Amino acid sequence: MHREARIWQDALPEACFSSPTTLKTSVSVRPSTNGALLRCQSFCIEYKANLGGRIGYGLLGSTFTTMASDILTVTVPVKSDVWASFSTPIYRIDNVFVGLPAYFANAVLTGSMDYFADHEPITGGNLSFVAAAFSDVGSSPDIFRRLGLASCHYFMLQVNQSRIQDDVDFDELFSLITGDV
Amino acid sequence: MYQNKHGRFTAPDPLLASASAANPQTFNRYVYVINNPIILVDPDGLQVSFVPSGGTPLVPNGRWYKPIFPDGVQTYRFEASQPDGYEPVTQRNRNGDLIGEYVGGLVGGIPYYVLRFNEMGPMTPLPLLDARTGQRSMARLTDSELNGFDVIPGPEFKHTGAVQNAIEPFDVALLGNPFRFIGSRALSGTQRTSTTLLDSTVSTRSVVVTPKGLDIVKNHLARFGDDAGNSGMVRRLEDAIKSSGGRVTGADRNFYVHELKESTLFRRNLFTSDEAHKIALRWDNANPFSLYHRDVIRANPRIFNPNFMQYWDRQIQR
Repeated sequence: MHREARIWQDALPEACFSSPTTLKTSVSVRPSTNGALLRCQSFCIEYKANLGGRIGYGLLGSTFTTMASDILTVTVPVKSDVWASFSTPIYRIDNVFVGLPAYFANAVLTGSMDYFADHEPITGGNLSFVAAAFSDVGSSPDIFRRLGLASCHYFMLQVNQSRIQDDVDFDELFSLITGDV
Repeated sequence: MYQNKHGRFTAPDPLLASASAANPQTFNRYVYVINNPIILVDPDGLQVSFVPSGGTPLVPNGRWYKPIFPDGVQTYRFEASQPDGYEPVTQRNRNGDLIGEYVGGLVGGIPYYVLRFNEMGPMTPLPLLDARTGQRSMARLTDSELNGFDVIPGPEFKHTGAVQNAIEPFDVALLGNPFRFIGSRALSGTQRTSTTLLDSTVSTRSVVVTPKGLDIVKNHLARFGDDAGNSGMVRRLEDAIKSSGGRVTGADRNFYVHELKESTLFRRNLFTSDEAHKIALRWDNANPFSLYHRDVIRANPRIFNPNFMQYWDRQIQR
């Protein structure tokens, strides 16, 4: 098994943190679907991939709160000063730390913007990234960009009332992270 | 005295203590190494010893020694006295915890061995390996099954159990000199890795890349899918074959050697993807930041975090 992902729905692992430093962006919302309800408000995905000379890794958790607003706000915390270990990662090559240095936080924001550039948000609200873990060696901006993109996709699937489905298509989600699309 | 004509010793083995109820063959005092010369030796004529892969016999009252200054392959030796340039394998981590061991035992009468180690995390038992077939088993040894049945690693420390290459099932009762391997590279605590990793110096070793070796590397990398970092490194190795007869150093050398080693570990089908990567790194004593060339990292800033470039910047500053 060269690629592995772990997902939390309606729960978050012990990798949550807060930071006074955040990156923020806002996206306009399509009015007709404003105010849709979410079935699940928190989501986290952890991903690991053996790439040969390195093993890629990242964990990103988020919460989404719908609001009667024509704006969707995305908030990404930046945390690179305090280093607590994430004790139960699927990645066991070197230490994994809770936090999100600026170069990964930027990538998460980029991934979110990339997603909403192609998919108009269908409800207003706040999408806040609240949990993250990374490796000094295995993590890369590209992995966190994909994790950010996949998180946005997950929440939009949850609120998309035109799409009738009980469960999230995890294969589709996984392909967003691996880039196999 | 051994009688060729009869294929037997003419006098009984004098060391009665070498008999074991667990192996009735040991009560036959007139045969050499209980009729199993493939995996057993008897250098002093008193007691059989297990032959780890590679042919190093287990000597009575011996212990394992490791090179004080390992260069490339770390060759561990089992000797009765300490060889020059070697030191006993007795390291534990800073907390005094055991950090790696080879163990074996009988499960349902079938001999198994298992390597478990703790280089960078909790001690993780691998699935048991059937000594006869090399097949994995999901069974786990219990403490009582493990008791006294430690298995000897081969003379070349590559995380291979000696039993792996045995033709017949080994009899754990023959391992009269219980041995427990203890690794030497424990990382404990939650100290940030970059502090130490970024400060280490890249090796000056070189290697010659061959077309055949590069094909192995390419085939190995193909299983992981497209990756710009790997593609960049492979192109560099191809160029090295054309321009300099294949001799490479630094990142080119480290990447090539790492992928070859990882490929070998994959073929043995003994390790998970993570384990193979980690073992290959450790085997070559390679810094994980040193496997990709600076130019490849610079060309692909999205797939490498800034620590990679920082590592190479520090190399240049030296």
